[in-house]
Amino acid sequence: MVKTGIILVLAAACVGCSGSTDDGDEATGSLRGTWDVVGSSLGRQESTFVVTLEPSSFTVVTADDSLHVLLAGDGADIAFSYSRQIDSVVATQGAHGQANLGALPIDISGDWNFSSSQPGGGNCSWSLEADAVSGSCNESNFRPIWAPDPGTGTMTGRRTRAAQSMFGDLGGEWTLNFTDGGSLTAVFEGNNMALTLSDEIARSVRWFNLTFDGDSAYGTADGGLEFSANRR
Amino acid sequence: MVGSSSRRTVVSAGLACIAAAALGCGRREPVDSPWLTTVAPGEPEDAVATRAAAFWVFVDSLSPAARQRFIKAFDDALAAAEASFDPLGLELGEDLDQAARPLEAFLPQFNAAFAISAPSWALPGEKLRVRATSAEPGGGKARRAWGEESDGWARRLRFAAWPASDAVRLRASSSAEHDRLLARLREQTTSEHSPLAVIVTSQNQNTFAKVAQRDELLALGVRARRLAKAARKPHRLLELALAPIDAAEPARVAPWLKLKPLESLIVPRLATPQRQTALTRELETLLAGSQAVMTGGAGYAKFAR
Repeated sequence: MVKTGIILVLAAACVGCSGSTDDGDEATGSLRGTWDVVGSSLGRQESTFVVTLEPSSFTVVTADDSLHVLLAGDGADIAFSYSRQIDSVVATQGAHGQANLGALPIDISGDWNFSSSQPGGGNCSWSLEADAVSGSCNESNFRPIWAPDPGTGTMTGRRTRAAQSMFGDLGGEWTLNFTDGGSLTAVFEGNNMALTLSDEIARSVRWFNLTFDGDSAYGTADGGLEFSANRR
Repeated sequence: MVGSSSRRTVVSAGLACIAAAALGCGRREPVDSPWLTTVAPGEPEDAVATRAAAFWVFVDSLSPAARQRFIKAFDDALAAAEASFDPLGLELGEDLDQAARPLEAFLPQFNAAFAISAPSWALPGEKLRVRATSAEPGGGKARRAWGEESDGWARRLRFAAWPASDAVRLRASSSAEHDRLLARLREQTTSEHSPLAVIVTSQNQNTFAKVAQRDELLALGVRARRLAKAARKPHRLLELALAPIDAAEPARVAPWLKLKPLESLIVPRLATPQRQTALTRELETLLAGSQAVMTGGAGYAKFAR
C-alpha cells in the first residue's frame, strides 16, 4: 500500500487543479471537481477516465473499472471494481495530520492503516507529515488488481529541500527509500510535479512530469506517453 | 448623429483592424466547422486500419531528416531483435525495449496521428463515443468542434475529440506556397517545443502511395512480420512496424473534413499547454510573410471573434 498510496496521491494530483499562480510562486485554487482525462497509448485507442476529488471523497472511474474512497469519521471506506469483481478495503485513521496539502482537497495526512475486508488479507500503513513520510506492508494482496504491488517491507522518506508549491507542505524535493531496494524522488514546485523511480522499482514508467494550468493539466512520461486533463 | 455613428464605426473598425493585425487576423476567414456528436458504441472499430492510416500520415508529417532518423531507429531496433532470432520462440523483452528507446521520441506524433485517424473518440466516464461529422446532425446535442459555445457539454465533447477540435486548417495561395508551407510545418513536427504534431493534407487523406521512402518502410514491416510470427508475445515495436502492411486498406483520415488541394489540417500534440492557443500562435509565426491563411480551428475562431 506504500507505493500504491503514493501513486494514488500523485494520480490525484496528476489529473489537474486550478493552480493558477501569481508570479508562479504562490499556489492558489484547489483540485476539487470532476476531471476528464485522456492518455496516449501507442497504436491503440487513447485511454480515458474520470477523476472526482472532493474534501471527503476521491473516485476514479474508467470505462470498466472504478475506485471509490469515501472519508467518514476517523477512517475511510475504499471500494474498487475490476472486471466486474467488487472488493473493498477498510482504512482507519490514527493521529490526524497537520500537513497542509494545498490544492489537494482531500486530507490524506496523518497516520492511516489499511486492511482487507476479508480475513487474512494483510494490512499496510501510511503516515504523512509536513516533512516526512513512511509506510509499511506485511501483505498487500487486498489491493486493487490494477494497482502496483507495493510488496512487503517499509518505506521512509523525507523532504530534503523546500520549495513553493500548489501542494503546500509537499512543496520541494522528497526522497523515499524502500527497504526491499529502490528509491523514488518526487519534486513539487510551483504548478509542476515530477516523479522519478529508480531502476529497482520502475516498471513501464520510470519518470513523469505534470503541469497544472487553470482548469487543465498536461503531462509526459517515460516512453513518449502523454496525457491531458480538463475540469468540467 | 449618423455622421457621429459612422465615425464611431470607422474608429471601431480601425481599432479592430489594429488588434486583428497584431494577431495576424487580417488573414483569417469565417469558420465553417465540423460537428461533434455522440454515438453508442457499436461494432469494434478497425484498429488495424486506423493504425495503418496513422502510420502513413505520421511518416508523411516528418521532415526528410526526421523521417530518416525514424527509419534508422526502426532499422536498428529490428536488427537488435533479429540478432536473437529463434524461429521456435523469440523472446522480445527488455533488450528490444532498450533498442526501441530512440523511437520513443516519435510517440507523441504517432499518438496524434492515431487520434486524428480514429473514427471516434471515447467520452470519458460514459459508454458513448464522440464522432465528428461534416454536416450538423439532428437531435440538438451536437456542438461545433470549432464553435464558440462554451457550455459544459460542448467542452466535454471538444476535449474528447481534441485532435479535431484543437486542430487548425490552413490554405495556401498557390501550389508552390503549399509545398513551402508543408516543408516548414514538417520541420516543426518533431521540434521538442513545438505544439505541432501531424499534418493532414488533401493528398494523404486520399492516398498514401506518394509518401516518401514508402518502400523502405514497407520493407521494415516485412521484417517485423517475420519476427512477430516467432515472438512468444506481442511487442509494441512490432505492432508499429506491422502497421503499414497489416491492413487491407488504411482508414481514411478525418473523413469529416474534405480538404481542398491547397489546404492542410494541423493537429497538435496531446500534452501541449493551452493546445488551441499554442498551436494558433505557432502557426501565426510560421505563416508570417506568406499569403497562406487559417480557415478553421477553435483557437483560430477565438482569435477571429
